[in-house]
Amino acid sequence: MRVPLRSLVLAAALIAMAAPRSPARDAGAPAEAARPGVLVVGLVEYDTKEEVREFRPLADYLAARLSGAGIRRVEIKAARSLDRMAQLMRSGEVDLYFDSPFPAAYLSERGSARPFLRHWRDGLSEYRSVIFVRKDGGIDGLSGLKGHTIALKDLFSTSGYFFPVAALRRAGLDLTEKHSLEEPVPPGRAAYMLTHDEEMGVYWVLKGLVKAAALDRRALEKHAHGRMDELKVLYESPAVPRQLALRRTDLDPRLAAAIESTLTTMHQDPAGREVLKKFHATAKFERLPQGPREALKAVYDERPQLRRELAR
Amino acid sequence: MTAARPLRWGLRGKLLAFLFGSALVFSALMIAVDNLLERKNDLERMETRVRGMAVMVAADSVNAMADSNLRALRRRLRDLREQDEVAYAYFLDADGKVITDGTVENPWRDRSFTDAAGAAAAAATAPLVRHDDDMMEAASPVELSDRRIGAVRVGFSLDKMNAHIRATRRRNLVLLAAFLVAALGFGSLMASTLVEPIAALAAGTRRVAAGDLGMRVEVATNDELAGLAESFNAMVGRLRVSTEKLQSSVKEKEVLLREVNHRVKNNLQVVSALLNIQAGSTGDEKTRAALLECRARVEAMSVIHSQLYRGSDAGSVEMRPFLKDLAGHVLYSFVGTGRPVSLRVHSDDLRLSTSQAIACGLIVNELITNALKYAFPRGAYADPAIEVSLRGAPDGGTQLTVKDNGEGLPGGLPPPKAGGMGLNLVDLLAKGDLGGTVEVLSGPGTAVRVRFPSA
Repeated sequence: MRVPLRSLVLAAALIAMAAPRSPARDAGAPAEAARPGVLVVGLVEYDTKEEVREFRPLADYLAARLSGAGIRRVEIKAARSLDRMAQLMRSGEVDLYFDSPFPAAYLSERGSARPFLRHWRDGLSEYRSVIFVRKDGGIDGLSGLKGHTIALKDLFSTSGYFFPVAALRRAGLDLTEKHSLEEPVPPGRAAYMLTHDEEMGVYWVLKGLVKAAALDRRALEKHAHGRMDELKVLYESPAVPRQLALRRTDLDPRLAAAIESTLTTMHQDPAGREVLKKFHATAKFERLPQGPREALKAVYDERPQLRRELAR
Repeated sequence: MTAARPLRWGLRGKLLAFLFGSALVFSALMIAVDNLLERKNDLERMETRVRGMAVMVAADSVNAMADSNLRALRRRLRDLREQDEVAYAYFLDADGKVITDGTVENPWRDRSFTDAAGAAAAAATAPLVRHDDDMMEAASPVELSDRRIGAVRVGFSLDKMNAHIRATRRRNLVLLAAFLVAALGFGSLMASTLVEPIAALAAGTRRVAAGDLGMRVEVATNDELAGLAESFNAMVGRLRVSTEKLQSSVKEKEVLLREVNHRVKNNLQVVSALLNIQAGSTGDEKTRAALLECRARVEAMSVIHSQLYRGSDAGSVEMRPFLKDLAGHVLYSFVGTGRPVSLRVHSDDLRLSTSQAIACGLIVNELITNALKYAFPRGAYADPAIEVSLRGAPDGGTQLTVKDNGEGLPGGLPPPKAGGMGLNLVDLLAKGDLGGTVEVLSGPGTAVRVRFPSA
């Protein structure tokens, strides 16, 4: 049967128009240049549904406030990994991204994006990473963790991976990743397991399933559920910004300025405060007083670890 | 203030009340049964669903629980809790302590339930379901190679089910109202069909009772009531024919009776005239007096007869006018024979049978005649008077008295059979025809009293 070309074009147009307005899922598709009038906010997909729910009010707020800067629409685009996000920002497909200091430094070092605002996520301007064990676990220092398993969060977590791993390595531990609790720790080494979850490390340590876990202090206190007296902190990192807002490196400076102005003033606006509350319980956005490099100093101080991660 | 009028339930009201009451009772029973079954069925369906869900969640969470993968367990419960009816959900470890409730905050972690349902869920070795009015809870063990490594506890709100039951009850109430309205409508129709012919028959009987024998009851239905109406109409028709025949017969007899009465009266007049002529032609004074007495009696009988046939009731006679008329006639027949005598007639409002009235009339004729003839010798009394009275006696009988203020009977009370023919005739009539007694009372003048029982 021969289908007229005009019908095919019409059908394709209808399908395109009928496509739902949902976050674009990136599966390594070819790069797509920045589109005029469209601002794209990126997120790395851990739990897309939850993340989109948190991002949508902010995206709508920006769309409403940035029309003067030529923005007609704000889209949300999810990537499966930070490397893919770096790629998307470099190609101009994602304009804005929010993450903690280690991913921010990672993207910055990749030349994809630069931090431009501090984001008071969960009402915090700064936080610290801790490595903790049970008090009765017989571990007094990081070196005592040799031969044992440490629960870490995920590979791009500042508090749940970057700082703890750097500290463990500085303490002379050779680390290897394992994928189940039953898997044995290779002799002479320490092992880590990624939980991709804040609470699980605390739960495992309290249950005695692993010897230690790493997390930011506030999350530890939250998930210990009043059992902090059973735990002992072996290491605490320097304070770093809780979260940073990044823009792609080649973003139009006028648009960047408009975004910066909108974000840094939205906590003064009742509607903006409502949006911030829904966006990771943010208190406000503020400019980096001493520039992005100084904001990420603690990360750059762990240069060997950063180099190792960049090389991975 | 007027007295409350008692409520009268007509046939229509009773029929409507019966139908409405029956519909109400039937509907109420049906609704009660439906409500009970609805809740029972909903609970059974919910139990099956809840149990199945707990078992399924337990089965597909074995690996996550074995690995203490809190994140996976939390996600599983979070997915579960996204269902509207799931109020709470927990994974419990083998010791019965909460692993996660599906929230990031997880406030119940490491705690044990102290309530009975929680304790039962923590110790569950087989799926179990329990519920109260508002919640249904299911628990199922999580088993790895026949080893119990934990449990899942899920609570379902019954709000939706209860709302469905309430909606069903509301629907049933609407149906009940509609059913009752329909029953009323149907009842009205039935009442019209059944009651209107009966009401027409009742109205027909009232008209017949009032004498309207020309009416017909029209019933258009095709049932027993129509048959009854036809029978009624036929009965009224026959009654009308019979009544017309009777009326015709009565008229004939009335004509005949008038003729007979007329002839009797004429004959009595002829007899009276003959006796008068006979009395005038005899030279013997005694014979003439006897003939005149006889003529007076015949005339008395004539008066009685005219009174009787003038009355509307042939079986009885109203005594007051009868006595006045008779006494006046007797008195009139003696006009010019001496000093005028005043006559007073007192009678209770009595009716006597014809035979009693004739006897009473003859007695009064004899006694007044006697008084006029013998009680007042010429010029001896300044104010002669005769009084006739007829009274009901206290013993239920009747008492007839004729008295005068004249001389009285010569020599006191007359012995039986010693009087003249008049008194003998009075005695004979009083005892024979009336079954009574005769007294002659002493005193000034003469008084004769006759007592007799009622007929």
